[in-house]
Amino acid sequence: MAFYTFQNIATNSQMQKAASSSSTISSAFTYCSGLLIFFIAIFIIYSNSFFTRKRKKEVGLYSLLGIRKRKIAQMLFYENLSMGLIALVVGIAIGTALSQGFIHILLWLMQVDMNLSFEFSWQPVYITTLVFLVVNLYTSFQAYILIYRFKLIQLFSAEKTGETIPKARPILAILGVLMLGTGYYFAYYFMDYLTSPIGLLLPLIILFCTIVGTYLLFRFFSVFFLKSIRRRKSVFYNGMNIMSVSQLIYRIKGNANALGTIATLCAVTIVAVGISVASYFDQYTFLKKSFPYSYSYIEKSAESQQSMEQILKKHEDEHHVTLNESIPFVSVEKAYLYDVDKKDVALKNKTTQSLSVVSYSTYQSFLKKLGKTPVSNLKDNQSIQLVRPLSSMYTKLMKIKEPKQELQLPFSNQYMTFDVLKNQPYPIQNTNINGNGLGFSETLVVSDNVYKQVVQNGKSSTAHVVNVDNDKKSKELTTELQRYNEVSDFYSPYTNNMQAMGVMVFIGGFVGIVFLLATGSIIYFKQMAESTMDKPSYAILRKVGVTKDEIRRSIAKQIGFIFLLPLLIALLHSYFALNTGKVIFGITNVTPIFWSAGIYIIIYAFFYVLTVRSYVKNVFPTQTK
Amino acid sequence: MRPLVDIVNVNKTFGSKSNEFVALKNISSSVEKGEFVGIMGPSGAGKTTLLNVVSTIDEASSGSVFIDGKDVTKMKEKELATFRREKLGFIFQDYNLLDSLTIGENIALPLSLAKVKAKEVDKRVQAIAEKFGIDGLLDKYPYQVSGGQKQRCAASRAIVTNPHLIFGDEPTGALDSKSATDLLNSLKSLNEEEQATILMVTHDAFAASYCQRLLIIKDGEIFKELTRGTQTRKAFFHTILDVMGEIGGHDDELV
Repeated sequence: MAFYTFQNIATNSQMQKAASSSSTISSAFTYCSGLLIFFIAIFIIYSNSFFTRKRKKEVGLYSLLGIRKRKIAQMLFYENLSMGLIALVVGIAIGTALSQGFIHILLWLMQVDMNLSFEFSWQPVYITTLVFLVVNLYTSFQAYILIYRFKLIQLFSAEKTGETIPKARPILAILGVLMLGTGYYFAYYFMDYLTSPIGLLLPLIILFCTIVGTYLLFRFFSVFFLKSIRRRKSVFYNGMNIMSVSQLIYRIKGNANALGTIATLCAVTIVAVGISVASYFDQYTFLKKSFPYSYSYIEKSAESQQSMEQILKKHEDEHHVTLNESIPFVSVEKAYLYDVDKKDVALKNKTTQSLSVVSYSTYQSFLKKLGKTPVSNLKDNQSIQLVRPLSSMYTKLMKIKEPKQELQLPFSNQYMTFDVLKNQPYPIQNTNINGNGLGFSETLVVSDNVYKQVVQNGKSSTAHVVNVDNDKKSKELTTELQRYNEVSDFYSPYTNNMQAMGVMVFIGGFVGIVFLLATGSIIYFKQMAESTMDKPSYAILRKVGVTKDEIRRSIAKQIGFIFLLPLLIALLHSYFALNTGKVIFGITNVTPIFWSAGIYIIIYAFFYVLTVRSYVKNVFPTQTK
Repeated sequence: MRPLVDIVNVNKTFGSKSNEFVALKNISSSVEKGEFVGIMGPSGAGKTTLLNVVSTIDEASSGSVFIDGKDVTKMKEKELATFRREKLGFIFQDYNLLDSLTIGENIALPLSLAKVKAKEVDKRVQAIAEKFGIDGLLDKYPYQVSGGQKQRCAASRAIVTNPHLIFGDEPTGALDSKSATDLLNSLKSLNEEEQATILMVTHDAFAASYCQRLLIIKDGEIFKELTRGTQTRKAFFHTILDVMGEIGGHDDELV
């Protein structure tokens, strides 16, 4: 059903009209629906195997009553098939209804205003039906061969076979903890090791360590942990603890792998949702690092400049101008800017580039206008490089040691060399968006004396930077300005990114919810299966004189362990993953991550309560006393 | 002084009015402290129903059951659970051991519930297991041991708390004759040496012959009461067979 909804959105034609960068978005949807198919297929097959296991006895009984195997197999096959078909029809109906709502959410996230009319297309129905039929035929076939696979005696004793109690292997338990530790260590100091020889393998190492570590932890450490509780008699022999702990030990083998999977899934979900939500809400600050100013342009002519000023004035009401600076600079062709240790190569290959040069006093007054700390005076053989705030942030975060740089500027017939002092993250222009991507023209500050000479050897122009209020919504202002001058504006990349990020968040959220529901249901089904098996045990406990409350508390504790353990591990995983992801994705505001994790935990807790309630209900017989 | 168990005018009916089935009809009886009493009768006579009502597992439709001077039919759920835990011990035909607990843990369960100190728990479990000859199996799980061993484990669990009263519901029903004899001898010595009060349901005359007194039930009423007195066990066994014959049950139901 979820899959259908997703397909429906993906193929909704209005959707594609709305999304301007439709090709990337639709491919994103295709990938995600592929992921969903895979996941849902696994989920259906898993839950199906759970249900057939429950019915083994019933099948055995039919066989015992003398119904022919073929007949039973057919019965199971058709039963499964018809159930599947009913689910499919209901799913498509609900999916159609829900998809409208989801499209609204998606558009809202993309910050696109659009009127939608109800639309129904057949394509998603076809695809969904096809996929679902394949999966359903598979499970039906499984049901069909059930009776052929097992002997009668196996069918009857399906639920009785005792599970072997795994041995506590301290070495493997410790290995699990160690592997997790290693994974965490590398994840935490990711940036430090990025430039080391193992840098490229690092993500693989981290993934390998954490995933294998997780499974080892559940497989062995949990046994180790529970058994050590059992050894601490004073805790163990305390009321119902004896029951809860023993139950957990008894079932841990079957549960360990499921718990490991759940922990991994949880972690992936939390990280994916966290990152996408956080980068969505962080988009403004993030883009401001590449486009620090609402508008930046190079003056074309005095007339065009006048028109620009007029347009700004015209929109003053909605978009109050907070900064409007003109910065004279000189473009220099054929300058050298190189790392000192690569000087020879640069000079030999004549890898020149064109740069912008600004005078010290101009830059100083610009900094003052921006309200930033001024830079100390420059000697004649010194210069300052202006960089994008984004690259300055990465340099800092990744702890890259900046190589010492030198600059050579051409004068009438010779080159003059300058030390490049430091990188200053307040450029005089936005990043340019041109045909083939983002461009940023290097700008250097030189002393006023040098500037006077440079002016004679280059082309003088004036750069303008403008900040206005509410530049997120400056569509009209932007289009009007663009009519008179080439403007590198903040608005266009912002809206583009918001649309793309909206899709990201939507997919992240949607897949996240599906994962969450699936993990929740896996635990739920497993616990319900166990409760059916444990029913007699609880009847015995009641006879022995355990109160209902005690049993309820014991169940709550036992299921709490099953729920809490993977969640804790998942949270730990995602803490380390997000810590690094935060840096890579340049996220500064982490509140949305907490919010999404919080919501995740709440839904997860809801599953816990539901499971405990159903478990208790299942275990207590209808009679009251 | 009141007897340990006092059953007063107990009735039990199943089903709704239109389709009523009377399982117990106005039964009154009592068990003194230190007695070993059996309840016998053909299938469907109401033996197990009576035991369930007396042992607080089931409710009587009317009438009262006093154990140790307290009316258990008027107790609340929570009170009852505590009462069962502290004063009663149960041995069932199908053992009723918890599959997920080892033999040792099964025996320790009631002590743990009563919050007995950990050291004391181990000591008592060990002692009782030795008495029943299962001290080598404490770390095994129920599915790893035989029926007789399971039943001895169940018996150990029933008496580990030194209950006032031990209930047995066909405790030998699923055992071979050797295991059954072992268990009955254990119960007998428990009764004789520790003055434990035992109330046991059985349809097996051999098992019944271990009792000092027998309540024979037919169609929900006490049909006859037999006392062993000074008879040997063998003589008592024959007396029982005779009485059962009188009831007119089919022979195959008796042994």
